[in-house]
Amino acid sequence: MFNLISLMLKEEYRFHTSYTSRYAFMFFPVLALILAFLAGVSSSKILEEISLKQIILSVHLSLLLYGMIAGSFAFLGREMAERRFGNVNFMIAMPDILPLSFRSAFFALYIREVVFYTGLTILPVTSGLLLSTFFSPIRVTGVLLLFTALFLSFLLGVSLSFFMSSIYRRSAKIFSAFTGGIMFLIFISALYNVPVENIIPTVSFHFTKSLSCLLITTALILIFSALGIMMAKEEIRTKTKYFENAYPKIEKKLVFSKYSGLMAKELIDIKRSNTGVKMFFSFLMPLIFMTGFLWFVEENISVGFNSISYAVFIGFFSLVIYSWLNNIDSPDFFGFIPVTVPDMIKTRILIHIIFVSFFLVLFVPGMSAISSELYMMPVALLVGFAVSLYMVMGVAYLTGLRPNTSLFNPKVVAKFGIISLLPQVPLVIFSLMPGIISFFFIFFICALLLISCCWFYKGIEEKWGKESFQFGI
Amino acid sequence: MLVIHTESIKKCFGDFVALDSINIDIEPGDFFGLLGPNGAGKTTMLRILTGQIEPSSGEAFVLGNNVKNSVEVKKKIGIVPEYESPPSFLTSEEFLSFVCSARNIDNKNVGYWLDFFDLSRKKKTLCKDLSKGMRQKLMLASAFIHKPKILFLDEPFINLDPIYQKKVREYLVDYVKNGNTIFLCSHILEIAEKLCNKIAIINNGKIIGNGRLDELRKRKDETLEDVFCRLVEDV
Repeated sequence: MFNLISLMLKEEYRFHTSYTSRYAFMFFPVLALILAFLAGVSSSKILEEISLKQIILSVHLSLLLYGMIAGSFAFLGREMAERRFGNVNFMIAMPDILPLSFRSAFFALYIREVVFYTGLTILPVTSGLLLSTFFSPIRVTGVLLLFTALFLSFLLGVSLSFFMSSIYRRSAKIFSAFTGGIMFLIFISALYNVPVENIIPTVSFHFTKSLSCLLITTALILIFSALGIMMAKEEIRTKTKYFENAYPKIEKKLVFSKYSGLMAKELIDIKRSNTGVKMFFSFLMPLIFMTGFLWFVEENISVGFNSISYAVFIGFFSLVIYSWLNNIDSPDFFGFIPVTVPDMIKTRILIHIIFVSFFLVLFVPGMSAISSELYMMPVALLVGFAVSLYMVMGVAYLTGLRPNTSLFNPKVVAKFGIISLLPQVPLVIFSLMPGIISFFFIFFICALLLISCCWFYKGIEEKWGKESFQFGI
Repeated sequence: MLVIHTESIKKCFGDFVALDSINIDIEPGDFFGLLGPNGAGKTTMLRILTGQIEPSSGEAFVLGNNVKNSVEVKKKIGIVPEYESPPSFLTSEEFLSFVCSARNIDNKNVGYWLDFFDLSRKKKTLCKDLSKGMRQKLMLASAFIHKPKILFLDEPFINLDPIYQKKVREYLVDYVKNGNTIFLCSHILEIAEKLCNKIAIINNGKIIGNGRLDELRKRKDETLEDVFCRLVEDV
């Protein structure tokens, strides 16, 4: 088992460094260390503006979400075992050909995710904070307590994801019921102002340092991870399904687009791979997180977040749709027909726009109605649409058909940060100051975003025109 | 007129030189075999000629088009890659319809090719649920369906049962008789000896033998295997 885990860790490292250089990849933890050090050194100043409790809560929620995202690769584990990613194979598929159970491989995958992502971020952050203790009033024991509690939050997130992925593999209905149950609990807690530390045991442990909280947290982590691994399905073959030829009909309906053939293929992929459901939930999760976060901020310091600021966040989170579109299937095959990488990118942008329009129409009016800000709805819709279009064009231009993997490249991350923060910060600031002048500036920024979209769209051809569809070439 | 012409093709992956000064000329109606040991550079050469990757230096032309103009090249050729990789979530029938759409041709021949490869009974099955052999048949059908002037085949017989190996072989022989051209990458020498009229042997990225089999033989009774081993081991 140790050997398997060690090989999987090597595999993960090599997989990441295959699309960026080794040094560029190592820059990631170094950057985390430096940022944590700077945050530690300037902690006195930061604490003048934000309370320690708020910082701890935000960091715990982020780590929980980070753990869930890292653990969400468990959802891909079975996909990787069932089919090759182009000409790339993964260790998780080894139970196919070796006397090894899928559960053992799944357990190794769990350990790999924990070790890899702890090493990539949590340990460097802790080291940065430890270094900062020489230059700040932060105590070493405080940093160690923070590390323990945050590591537990991260573990809880990973375990929950593994547990959910196993449920999903067994029954989509039970998965939906379970997810619905969690969302209901969050909703009730928000409705009755239940403190976050009463919902998340790791936060409670951090605040109280009580042994019982630690035991509850550990028990939850063990239960979720053990159930997740025990419930992993051993058999490789899924049930074969049969479908009538839907392609020509869908293609005909899309004649308005130059890319009707490719769009039809992609839409069939989305439907049959259940990606629509995955998109919806992965769009919903950060939105719930953000809603909770905004609600928490508003409770403590009244900032004045409204439907327009919310639309900016929705526009940003809509990136998960483009990310999913590039995760459904290997694009290798397109290399053998007269299709270019820019054709494929543009097709996926078009599909992204269709799905985002649906999500915007679903969430923005709902948010405006709940906040009694229906008069803001048209502007919020415009902002949501402009931001999402701008973000997808920017990310497509930066990362092509590999948005997830490219975002481990520090150069790409830096550019992504500039592209996303430049328009979003002023948009959120102007949204907090309702009035004619603010609206004028919001319209102006939206116009700039749409002009930038044209620039990105044109740039895609030039940047990705010579790119190969195959991984690693 | 040459249908494939290359001038000093070189391809490097970092410090590794995968292909070095490759010059190949292929005429219409040739059944050309590029043979070589594992990792010799066969697939890299095929990828360059089919516009999937660009050479580091040198020029290559297929049917008069520079391979840098990859879309124009791919419109005119058929490719069967080393790995069978039809889209996972399309059925066999949908996959061929999709190929017709991407190639801008009528999909009236989809049924013919499904029948040809005995895939009609699997036409409603998703590609990901097909066996390796069936996926390989689909890849062959997708390369044949638009009747290209040149076929680029990378180990096309792997995964096919003996009946379909024979059927595909016969189809390819007829295809070449009609004036079309085949560029075959393989290390299965028996098949190459039966089918190819011209052969190039590549090793460590360099062509070490090029011509008709009788031109490459030192003795009359030398088989392709003898020629291959002699040339590769001499290097």
